[in-house]
Amino acid sequence: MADFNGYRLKGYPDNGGHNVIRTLHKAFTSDSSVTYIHFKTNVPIASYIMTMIEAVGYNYGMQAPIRCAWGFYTYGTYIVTQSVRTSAYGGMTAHGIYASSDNYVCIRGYTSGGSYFNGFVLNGYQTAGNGRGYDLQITASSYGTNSGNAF
Amino acid sequence: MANLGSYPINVQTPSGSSGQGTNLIKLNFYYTVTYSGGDYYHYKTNISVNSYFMGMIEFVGANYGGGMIPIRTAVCFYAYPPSNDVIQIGLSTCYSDGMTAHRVYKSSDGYAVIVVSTSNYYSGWVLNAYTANPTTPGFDPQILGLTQTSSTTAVY
Repeated sequence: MADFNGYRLKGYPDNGGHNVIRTLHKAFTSDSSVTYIHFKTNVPIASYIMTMIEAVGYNYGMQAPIRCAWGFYTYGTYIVTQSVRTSAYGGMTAHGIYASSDNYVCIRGYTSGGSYFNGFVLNGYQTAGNGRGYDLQITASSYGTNSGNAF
Repeated sequence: MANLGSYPINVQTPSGSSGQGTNLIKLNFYYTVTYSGGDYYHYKTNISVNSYFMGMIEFVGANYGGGMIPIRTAVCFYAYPPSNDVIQIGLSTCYSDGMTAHRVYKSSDGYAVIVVSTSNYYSGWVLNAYTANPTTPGFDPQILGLTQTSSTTAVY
């Protein structure tokens, strides 16, 4: 699953960094059996980076739009703070956040009705107090039924 | 105002968003980051109550102090000259506990002021504007002033 042709918006004049990264990643599957979708980021837990990632799209099989989000803060040796939120749209739920076995932040989405022609983009927001300008990327993805850690 | 960063920043208009020669979506037109102070933010806009502005302004980011909660909150209103005020005000929050939209009021000199609240601790967000409604398509919203306080009481 290749990265989408996204664009990065500069918005913080003091460090020249990008605080909003639109269409950071494009995700799509037509596999109706897929209920859990995992993304591995390039944010190491050995960092001090506040990040919000939001998924926006359409789960055709569930007949529902998607807008849900993950927020996390890496604090040197672990993910110190994290939250997931899902809007009234029901196409996918922001299900969890975890560290991969090689210590990068991963996010997990859940589609209760499967993922038959489920497509969405991920946008990144590094607007909070630490980590603005970090070159956020999605380095791997996994589609299946694993409700735990895929990476 | 304590330890608050706020910046008018370069407007980002994605390709394909133009309609009839006007830009209907303006992304990242203002940025705010806060490390301390009050939890209420009063944004004075350049939208006069005599402008017939009709649109939506959205706040997107993250609330670290509340638990790194995603923020997506919106206000919409109509600046209606016959009423000499803002009317038909809508306040909506997409992600619970991230940020709350409280009110839109008229400043003493006749401009719309938006009040939102979120944690003051290492939180930050950008503002987007959507001006697709027919009365003022392509209106260029700007923030003229921002005051951080501990209440929704009018400050402008």
